[in-house]
Amino acid sequence: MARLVQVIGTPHHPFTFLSLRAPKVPPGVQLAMQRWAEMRAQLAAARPDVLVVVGSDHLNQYFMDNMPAFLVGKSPRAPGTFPHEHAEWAIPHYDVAVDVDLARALIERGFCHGLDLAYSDEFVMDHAFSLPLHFLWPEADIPIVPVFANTMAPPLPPPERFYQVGEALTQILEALPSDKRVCAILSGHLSLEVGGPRMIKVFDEGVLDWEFDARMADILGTGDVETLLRESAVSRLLEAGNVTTGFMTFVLAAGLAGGRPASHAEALSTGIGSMPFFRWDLGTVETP
Amino acid sequence: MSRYGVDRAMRGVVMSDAQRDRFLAEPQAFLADYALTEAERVWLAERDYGALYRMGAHPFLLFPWAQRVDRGERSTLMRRYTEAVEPHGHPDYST
Repeated sequence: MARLVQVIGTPHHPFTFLSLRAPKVPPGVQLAMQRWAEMRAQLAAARPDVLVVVGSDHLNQYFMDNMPAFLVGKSPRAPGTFPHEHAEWAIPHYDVAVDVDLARALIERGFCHGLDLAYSDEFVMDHAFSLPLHFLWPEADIPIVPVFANTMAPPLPPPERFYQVGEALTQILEALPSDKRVCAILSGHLSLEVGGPRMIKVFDEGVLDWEFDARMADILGTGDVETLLRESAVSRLLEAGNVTTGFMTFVLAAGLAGGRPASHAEALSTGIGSMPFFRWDLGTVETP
Repeated sequence: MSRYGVDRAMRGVVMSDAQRDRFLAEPQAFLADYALTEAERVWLAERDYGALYRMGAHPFLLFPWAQRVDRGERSTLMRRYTEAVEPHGHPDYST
């Protein structure tokens, strides 16, 4: 049977590449680069055959004309990113094969696990996918299964649903008749405000809501699912920033990990906002 | 009020240089393609960030749109934009 051996939670801060081009790279961003390198080594040590990547689309591929709550990409290739993201933020392109058999299996078996997953045979991944993949698996030589989650366009699935989807995906993966080693990458963020009055706080002070960020990292580190779900209620996330709902991908991560405490749970203060770095080691992982 | 129409009009400008150029050159002709109220056409054409924010335009589209259509320097725009939206708190942006 397939095994989910590692779950990683990462940021996808779009200003990362512009910050790296600055004459003086902010120390916090340099620290983030260290974390990316550490995560990359940990992921390599887990020896994945396939990466299941869960992230939010930012109203680029999906829009309110037809908004899926959870959607699996099952075309043979997964291209990213969009031209305007590349031009505006220097987000690198990332083009990778999709494990179509696994994608189909998640969709088909999902129906018997309480999941009606939408699917697509034609899509582009935005920076929520291409940024972490660029840092974690720059070779792009193992297939992925992209899973798009709506964290931006209300009505949103509640955190309980994100957790259930995570639990169900693990059940499906572990019942598959294959010996594949699967790693999951969850792309999200901590407190975040874009286009609201508090956006300028990050511009001026480098952080939006540090108390929230540190607390959520602590909760994932303890594996307290009840508290996680309570503190991740959409209304509470919005108090921490008008698009903080992107944190819910990490609730899905906790569901994938069966509620176990994260092996590494960190809110990293970078000067351009807090960045999340989470990892759950679930199987045999060789120390890098 | 049609948040969906406003969001859709802004998204085109955010994602496409050609659409941005068309909006900047002929805003009324560009906006004629979208289902909008007269007030919404005026707010978009006049780049009234405060009014658009108050009516529930999606903030994740509104600020990137402002960056695309406002020729001002980024930090100056950020402050002008913040002053425009601040009185309105956090309106519901669901469609």
